[in-house]
Amino acid sequence: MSDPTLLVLSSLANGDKHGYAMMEDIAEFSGVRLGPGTLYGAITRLEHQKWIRPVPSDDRRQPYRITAEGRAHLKELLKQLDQVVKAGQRRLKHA
Amino acid sequence: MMSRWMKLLVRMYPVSWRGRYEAEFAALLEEVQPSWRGSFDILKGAVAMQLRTIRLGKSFVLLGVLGFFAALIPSYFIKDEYASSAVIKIQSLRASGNQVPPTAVEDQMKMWLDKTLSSQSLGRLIEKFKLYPEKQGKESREEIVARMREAIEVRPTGKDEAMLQFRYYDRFLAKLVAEELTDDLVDRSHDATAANRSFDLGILNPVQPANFPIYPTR
Repeated sequence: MSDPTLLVLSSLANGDKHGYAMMEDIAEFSGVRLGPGTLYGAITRLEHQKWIRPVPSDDRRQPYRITAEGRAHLKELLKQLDQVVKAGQRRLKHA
Repeated sequence: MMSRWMKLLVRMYPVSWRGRYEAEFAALLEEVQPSWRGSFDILKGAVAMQLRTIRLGKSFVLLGVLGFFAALIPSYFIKDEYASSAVIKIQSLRASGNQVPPTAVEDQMKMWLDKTLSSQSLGRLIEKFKLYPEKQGKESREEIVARMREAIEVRPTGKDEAMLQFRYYDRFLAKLVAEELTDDLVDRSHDATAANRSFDLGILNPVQPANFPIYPTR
């Protein structure tokens, strides 16, 4: 749940955001406060993999947008996570 | 505006990374105003990014430099320790001047030392010189006495000679306490009853103040 890739992609899934907006959004929906170094480490990796891209801005703050490949990857991550959640719940029920 | 500390941290990222992300990262840091934990996160990010972008050889150099600083920082939180010592002479009191058997010296010295290093005796010195103030209230009296006892060393240094040493983080207190301990031990040998005295103790080299710490060495 604290995987920065999953958190950043989930944050961008409902619209473009710059770094600070992502940090606040992630803290709100997951309770995880990413540090600036961790956030930009994730942004660097995600941009390199073409799962997010920068969008033009007049501000010094750079907004990012999730790409189609990024959405596909996020769906895959969420599917895996869903399987883990369901398996855990099933096992708890039968324990 | 970013603080100098933040600028320094950002400069630890690879040049190629800074060329692409520095402006927006700086904008984020101005908004976030990172705490110490945030600063550590930035440093961690810089190391991770350096490892991603530089060659293996440079990675080892970078890790070496970081390891050096990681080791250096705690050493500045460790207090210097000074050792003050005196040399005690074991003097035979036998009329013939015959040498006292080593086992007799050892047994007698042990008895005197037990008294000099007793909880009561050391407790008195701790109170008199207000030793280990940072431990008062945090450790029991016995624990502080045990700590002091560990800082005292008595060992033979030659024929009929022994050294008494006290280590402490204040060099003047180290000297004063070493003097008190030496005097106490010597006085006990003089106070001993005639039946127990085949030798007594004298001070060969009085306690000198330690000019340099013995620990840590930096």
